[in-house]
Amino acid sequence: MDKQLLNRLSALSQLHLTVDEQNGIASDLETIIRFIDVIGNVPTDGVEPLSHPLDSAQVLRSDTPTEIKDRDKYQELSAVTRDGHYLVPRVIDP
Amino acid sequence: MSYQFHTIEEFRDLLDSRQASSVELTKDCLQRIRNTSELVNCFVAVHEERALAAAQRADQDMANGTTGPLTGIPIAHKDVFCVEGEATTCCSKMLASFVAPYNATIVERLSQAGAVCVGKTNMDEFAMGSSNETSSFGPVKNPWNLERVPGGSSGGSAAAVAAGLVPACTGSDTGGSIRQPASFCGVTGFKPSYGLNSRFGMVAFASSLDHPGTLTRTASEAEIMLKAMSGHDKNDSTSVASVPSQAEFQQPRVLGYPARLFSNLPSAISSCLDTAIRTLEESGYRIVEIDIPHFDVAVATYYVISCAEASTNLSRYDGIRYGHRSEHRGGVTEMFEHSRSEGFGTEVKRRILTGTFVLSVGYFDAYYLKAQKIRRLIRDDYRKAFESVDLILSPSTPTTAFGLEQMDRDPTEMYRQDEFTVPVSLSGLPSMSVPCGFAGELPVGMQLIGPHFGEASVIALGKAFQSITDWHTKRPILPS
Repeated sequence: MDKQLLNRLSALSQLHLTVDEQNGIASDLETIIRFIDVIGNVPTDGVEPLSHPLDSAQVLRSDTPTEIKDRDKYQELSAVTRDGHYLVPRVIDP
Repeated sequence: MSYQFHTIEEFRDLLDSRQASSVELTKDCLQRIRNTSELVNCFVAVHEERALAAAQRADQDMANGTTGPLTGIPIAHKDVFCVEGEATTCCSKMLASFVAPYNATIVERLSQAGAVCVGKTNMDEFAMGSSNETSSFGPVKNPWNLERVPGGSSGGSAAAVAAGLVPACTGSDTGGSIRQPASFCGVTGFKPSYGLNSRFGMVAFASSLDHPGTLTRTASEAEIMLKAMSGHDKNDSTSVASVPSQAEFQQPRVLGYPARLFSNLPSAISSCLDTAIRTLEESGYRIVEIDIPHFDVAVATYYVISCAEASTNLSRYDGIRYGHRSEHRGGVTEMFEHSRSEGFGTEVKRRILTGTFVLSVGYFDAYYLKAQKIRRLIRDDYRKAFESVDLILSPSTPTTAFGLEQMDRDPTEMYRQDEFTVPVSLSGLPSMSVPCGFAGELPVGMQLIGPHFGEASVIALGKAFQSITDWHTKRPILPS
């Protein structure tokens, strides 16, 4: 696995890898990709992809309001809140 | 008196005959957990106060004559399921401080059925692993040999039942995470059909493959748990609204065995399987040779699909919307990256990166789309097999429990542990691992695989097998 591809995958995955991690994971990913490459040998012409084991379509709920007003309960999970808003650290993208 | 190794039915008898109260059973159970916590490390949280309050309510219900099969019975939940007001960490630093604001549907249903939750069990981080070594709480030890792994990812639940701490635990199975640890620990692990048990409130790993289920000592207990847990849930869009009548699945007689696929099994495991199959034959079941032609590519297919779904599901953990927030400051992206890198362990990172790879431009068709097509071929292989047989038999695992840190070098070596369970997962079929012998001191498991919604048939064979064998009654001896 070349460094450029690993950097691209890390960026897409939003993972910051240390140099040590990069070496270990690059080698692991090479092994894993070799391992999954076997699927390329299976003839699949004309086969439809299967994304749900029962081929079921997504079940939709009826279009009726069900919202429960429990904002206070959920805000207890957040590190900092103010006036019903969630506060996050000050970050400025370069 | 100690109630260690009692089954749900034995607890029921004690409660119904007023020989013991739920509070007494729960206290005894909590004491056992305290005594073994350092040895086995199968619990990550014990809900003592809450459990005793639930036990008191159960005793009151029983006094009022309102009881069900699970009223007053102590159980535990895998730490992947939300229990309102309690930490739900998925054994990851990422969720170390997450307290669930609601109950998972199956937690709620078991609670409504009167079960007393005594705590949360250890697991591989985000249910990714086959050895329970990736947990942020440290590895679980196999009660049959403390130098060996219990399997994973529901290793804590399997070990807790095997050690006789609780009669039943919930578990989750994405590629074998109930059946493989059940096999390694000598207990009964049941993964019902996809969509039968709600996934609502279960932390997602791979949504099209995640199956909630149970670990118990017997098939009969698995049936009791399933009845309380299963059923349509409007909060889970993949929960099935209705299932075929179970009457048509009741009496399995013809059992398929794809012998070709298991020709390389270690002899100690294959001899257990051979004996188990012979026992079934002698009991009147007909064994038929079948084949699953695409079986050999199932593990690779599974890792493409499950990693792709994991990379998507776990994208929500960025330190803002969910999960651990890094103290590192910089731009928004930098904060996300540091939060994720500090919060996730190595195996989770490997799977996210693999999933990102198979979904990325230039690789999507060759990997993800291809794997979805092969998934259909595997699913259809089973459908075809079930045209001529009622159930399918298979070993649960290619080895018995291996040593701690034995599989650290090559991640794919660990992935191959799932080779007998993932084809079933990809197909969404019900499957139960039952103890079928020992290789030396270590348990061996056999899978009973049914057609979609053939739960009654799988349970019927599990019960029948356990009525003519006694492997499920064997107990490990833990050092005192």
